[in-house]
Amino acid sequence: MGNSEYLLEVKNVSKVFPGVKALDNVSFDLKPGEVHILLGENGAGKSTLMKVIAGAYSPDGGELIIDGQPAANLNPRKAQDLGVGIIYQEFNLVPYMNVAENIFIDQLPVKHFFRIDHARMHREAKEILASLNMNVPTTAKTMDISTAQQQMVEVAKALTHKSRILIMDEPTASLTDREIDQLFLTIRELRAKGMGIIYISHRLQELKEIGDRVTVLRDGKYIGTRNLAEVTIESLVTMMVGREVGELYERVDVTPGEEVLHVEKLSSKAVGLHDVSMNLRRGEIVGLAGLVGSGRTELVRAIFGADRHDAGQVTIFGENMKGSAPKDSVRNRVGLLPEDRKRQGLALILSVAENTLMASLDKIFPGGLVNARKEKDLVDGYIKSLRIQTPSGSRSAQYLSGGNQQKVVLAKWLATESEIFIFDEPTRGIDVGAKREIYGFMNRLKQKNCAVLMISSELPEVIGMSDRIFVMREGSIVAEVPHDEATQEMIISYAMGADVAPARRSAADGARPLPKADA
Amino acid sequence: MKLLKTLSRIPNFLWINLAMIIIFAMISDRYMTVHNMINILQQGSVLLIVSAAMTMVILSEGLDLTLGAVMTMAGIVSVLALRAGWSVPMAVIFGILSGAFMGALTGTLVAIYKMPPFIATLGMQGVIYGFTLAFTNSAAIFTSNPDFIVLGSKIGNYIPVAAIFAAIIFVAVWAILHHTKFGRYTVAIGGNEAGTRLSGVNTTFWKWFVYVFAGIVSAIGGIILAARLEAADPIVGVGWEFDAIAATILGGTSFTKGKGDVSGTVLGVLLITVLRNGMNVVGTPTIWQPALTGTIIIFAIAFQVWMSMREDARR
Amino acid sequence: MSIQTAVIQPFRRKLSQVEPTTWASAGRVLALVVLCIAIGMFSPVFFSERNISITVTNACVLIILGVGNTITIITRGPDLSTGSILTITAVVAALMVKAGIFFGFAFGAALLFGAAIGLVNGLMIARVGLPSFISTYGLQWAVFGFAYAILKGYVVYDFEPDFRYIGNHNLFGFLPMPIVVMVLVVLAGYFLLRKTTLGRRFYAVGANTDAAYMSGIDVSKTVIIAFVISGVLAALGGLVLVARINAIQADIGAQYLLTTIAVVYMGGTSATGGQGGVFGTVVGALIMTVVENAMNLFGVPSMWRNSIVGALIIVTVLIDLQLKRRIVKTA
Repeated sequence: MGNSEYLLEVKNVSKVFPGVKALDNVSFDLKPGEVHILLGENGAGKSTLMKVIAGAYSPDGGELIIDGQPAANLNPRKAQDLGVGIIYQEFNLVPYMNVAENIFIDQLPVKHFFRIDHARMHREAKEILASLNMNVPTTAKTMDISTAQQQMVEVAKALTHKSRILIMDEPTASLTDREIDQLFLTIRELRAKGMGIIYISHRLQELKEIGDRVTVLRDGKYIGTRNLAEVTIESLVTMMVGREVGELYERVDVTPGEEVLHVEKLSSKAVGLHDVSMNLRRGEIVGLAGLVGSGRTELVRAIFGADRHDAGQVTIFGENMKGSAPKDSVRNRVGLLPEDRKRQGLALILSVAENTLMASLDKIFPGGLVNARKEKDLVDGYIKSLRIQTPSGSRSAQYLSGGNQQKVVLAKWLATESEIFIFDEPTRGIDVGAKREIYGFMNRLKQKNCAVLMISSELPEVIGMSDRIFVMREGSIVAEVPHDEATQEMIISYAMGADVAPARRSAADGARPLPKADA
Repeated sequence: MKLLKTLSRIPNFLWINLAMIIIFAMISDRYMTVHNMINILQQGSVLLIVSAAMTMVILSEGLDLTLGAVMTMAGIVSVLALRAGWSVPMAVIFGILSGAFMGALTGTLVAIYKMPPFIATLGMQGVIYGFTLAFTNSAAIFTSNPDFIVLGSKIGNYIPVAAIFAAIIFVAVWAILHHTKFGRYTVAIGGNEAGTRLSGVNTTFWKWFVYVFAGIVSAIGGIILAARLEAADPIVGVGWEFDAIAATILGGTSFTKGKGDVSGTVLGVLLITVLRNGMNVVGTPTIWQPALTGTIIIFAIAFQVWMSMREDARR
Repeated sequence: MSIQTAVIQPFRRKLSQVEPTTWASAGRVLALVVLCIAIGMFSPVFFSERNISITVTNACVLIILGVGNTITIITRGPDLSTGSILTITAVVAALMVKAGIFFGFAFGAALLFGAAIGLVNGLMIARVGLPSFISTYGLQWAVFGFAYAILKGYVVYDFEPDFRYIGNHNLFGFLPMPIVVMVLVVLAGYFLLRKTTLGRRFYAVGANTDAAYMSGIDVSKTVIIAFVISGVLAALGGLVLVARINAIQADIGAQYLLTTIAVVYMGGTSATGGQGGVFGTVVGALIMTVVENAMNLFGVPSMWRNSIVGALIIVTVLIDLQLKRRIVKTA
C-alpha cells in the first residue's frame, strides 16, 4: 500500500460510548479525486466515523493516516490544518453574525494589525458564493436566511480552508433539486481538482450520480467497500440491512375498538401544521410516516399539548383538549415517548425509580407522601416485566444503554396507566435486540386494548408494525393507507408528493431506501 | 405608515426614558438645567464604562459579578501606589493591571475550568472584597494628588473628564466588538460556542480574554471613580455590577445567543442615570431612593426580558 | 488466598458500587472532623462547652437559610435574595413588636412577607423567564433599600421576652431554641425533599426541566413553590437571628448572600441542579461556622472573611465539577 496513493486511511478504528459500541474495528480509505460514499442506516456509525476523522471524537482504538502520516491526538483545529474540512448536518453557524463572517469565522482577514478587513472579507465571500452560484447577501445575518442558504454558507466555509479532504454529512437533506444540481456540479469541480470527498448519505438514488466508491457500515461494523460502477443498488441494500425485511416484525391481530383520539382540522402557524385530521382506536397501532420536517413530531407535540395550536380540535377519550398542557394529557392517560430521550424523556442524573414514577406521582401517592416500600415494589415490577438491565432501581439512568433507557420511559407511561401511547422514533439509536423487545411491548399494548401512535422514519418498521399509516407532507396529512395495501414505494411517493421529480427523490429522508426503486 | 413602522422599531425603554425625562422636568424646574445635564453626564460616565465591559461579557453568554469589586480594587491599588510615591501614570497602570489580573483569574475559572459564570464570579467577588477591606483596613484612603484627581474633574467647569474617557472607551469597545477578531469571537461564543469551536476557533482563549478585558475596562472605571471621589473606598463598588447588568439588558442585549450591541447599552445607562438623578432632583427623600430605584430597575428588567421573549416567540 | 476471595474481593466489589456522591459526603464529614480536631489542638478553647454551644447556635440561622437555598438550587438555581428577605422581614416584625403588636402577629406577618417576596422571585423566574441568579440578585437591592428606608438607618434593640423566645430561650433548661428550630427545619426539609411527591418534583424539574414538563409536571408551579419556601425560611431565619441578638439594623442580612449559597454547594448540592440534600447543607454550614470560629480564635482580621467564603465557594464547586466530569468519562 503506497503512502501517496491515499489521502486518508482509517485503520481498525473503534469508538465506545456508554452502553454502545459505536464503531467496531472500522477501516476506510480515500483517494485524491474521488467521491467516496459512506452508507448505512441510522445508528450504523457513519456520523461517529466522520467525527473521528474530523478530530471531534478521539478513537478508542485503531489509527488514522492522513497523507501517509499517522495523525494521532487529533482535534478539530489540527484536523483542519491537515486539510480535513467538514460540513456537519447540524450547522455550526452563529445566528447573529453575517454570512461573510460565518464563512471566514476561523480566519477573519485582518489589516493594520488587528482590524478586520470587512471589505476584503465580503469580496472574497462573494467570490466563493458566486463560484457556488449562490445568491446570498453576505451582509445578511445567518439567522435570517433559509436553511438551504445556511447549508451553502457551510459549504463555502469548508471551501475557504483549501481542504484536500471534505466530509459532507447528508448535504442534500434540506436542499431543493436545483440546489442539489448546483451542489453536485460543485462537488465534481472539487473532485476534478484532486480533492477527496467523503459523502455521507442514505439516499440511494443520488449515489450513482455523484459517487465513485461506496463503503457500507452496519451496527458500527465495516461491511464492505465497492466501486459504484460495479454494484447494483439492491446489493447495497442487502449490505446495509443484512437481514430480510419483515423478520423483525411480528404481527398480532386485534379487532380495533372505540375511537380514543380524534384530531379535527388541527392547524398551527408557529410549527407549520395545516388542517390535520386523524384518529386512533383501541387495539391498533397507527403509523405516522413522512420525511423529517414534514410535521410529524410537531403534530404529536400539539396533540400532547406541548405546543399550542391556533385552530382545530383534539379530542381524547371524548374530552376536548382545547388549550391543554402536557399535564392535562398525562391526566387523560396519554403518554409520549419523545424522539430525544436524553433531553425530553429522562432526567439522566436521577435514578431509574425516580424516572419511572416521574409522571405518576399523584396517581401512585395520592396523599403527596412517597411510600418507599410501594415505590420499590412497583419499580422492581417494571424492571422485571420490561427486562430493564440495571442492578437496581436506585441506579442513575445515565448508566443505562439506549434500549434500557427507552424501556424506563415506557415504564413511566405504564405507571400512569396510560391507554394512548405515542412513540416518536421508538427505536432510534437502539440495538437490534432491544428493538425487537420494543416491538414486542407495542404489540402487548395493542393486545391490552391500548392505542399506539408511532412516528417512524424507518419504512419497514412503519409498514411492519402499523395497522394503518398516515403519511404527512409539509404539515398536512396527505394519505391514510391500511396495512395490507401499504408498500414502501406508495408511502414514499405520498411523502414526497407527486409533483416532486421521482428520479432522485424516491427515498424518504431518514428512511431506509427502497430496494426496488428505479436507479 | 412608514413612520409608524420606524417608530415601532424604537425600543420601549427609549420611550420610557423620554417619559421619565418629561415627568421629572415637569415636577422640578431644576431638572432641565445645564448644570443638571452635566451632572447626568458625570454620573453616567463611570456606569457607561463598566456597562460596556459587562455587555461584552453578557454577549459571550457569560456574567461577571466581580466588576464592582474590580472597580473598587483598581481604585485602591492606584491610590495606594500614589501614596507610596509612584507617579500618576504608573499608579494608574498598576491599578489597571490589578483589574486585568483579577479578570484573568475569573476567566480561568469560567473558560478553562468551565464553572458556571455566576458562581465563579460571585466567589471571586467575595475574594476581591476581602482584599480591598484588608488593604484599606476597612476605611477610605484619601488622596489629594492634583494630577490624579483631575481624572474626575470637569474641564472649564463644564465637560467632565470622565465623560471624555467614557466616550473614548465606548467607541473603543464598539470598534472592538465590530471590527476585531476578539469582538467577533465574543459574539460567536455567545451565539454558538460549540459550533464556533468545531469551526476551529480557540473559544477557550477568547472566552478567557473576555473576562480579562472586562477586568481592564472596569478597572479604568474604578480609577476614574476614585479620582472623582478623591478617595479609595473599600466598598465603593458594591452594586455597580448590577447596575451594569441592568443597563446591558435594558439596552436590548440578551442572556443567550449573542444578541445585542454595546450601542444599546448607552441607552440603558441613560435610563438608569436619568432615573437616579431625577429621583434626587425632584426631592425624593434620600433614604427612600435605593428602595425605589432598585424596585423600578428590577421590574424594568423583567419587563424588557418578557417583551423580548414575546418578540422571539413571534419570529 | 481464601481470605482474598471470601472477604476482600466481595468487599472491593461492594466498594466499587458505592455511588461517587456517597464518597463525597463521607469526605465532607471527615473534613469537618479533621478541621475540628486540628483547631482544637491549637486552641483548646475550641472544645469548651461554651464555644461549642456558641458555634452550633451561630450555625443555626445559616442552616435555616441554607435549607431554603438547597431546595431552590435543586429545583432551578440559587436564591441570592435570602439575606435581604431575612433583613426586611425581621425589620417589619421588630417594628411591629416595638409598636406593641402581639408578637404572634408579628411572626405571622414576617413569614407571610417572606413568602410574598419569594413569590415575586418565583414569578419573575418561572413566568417571565429571568435566570434565578439575575432575578434574586437584582431584587435584593430593592429589598435592602426598603429595609434601610423603613429603619431610617437606626438600630432597633431590646425586644420583649416573648418575641425573643425562639432565639434566647433554652428548652428544658439546656437546649437553645435556635437549635430546636434549626433541627425542625432540617427534618422538615429532609421530609419534604425525600418523602413527598413535591420533593420528587423539585428534583425532576432541576435534573431536566424539559423531561419534567413532558411528564406532566407543572414546572412553573414547582419553581414558584421552591422560591416561596426559600422566602419563608429566610423570614424564619431572620426572626431567630433578631431574637437571639436582640437588635436589628439594615445590614443584618448582608453577610448571608455569599455564605448561604456557599454552604449549600459545600454540602454537595449540585450547581447544575437535581442533586443534593439538606444533610449535606448542615455539614457545609458547620464547616463554615467552624472556620469562622477558628478565625476568631486565631485572631484573623474579620475583613478576610469575604475572601475565605468566596474561595470556599470556588473550590467546592470546582471539585464538584471535576468529580462529575470524571464520572461522565468513566461511565
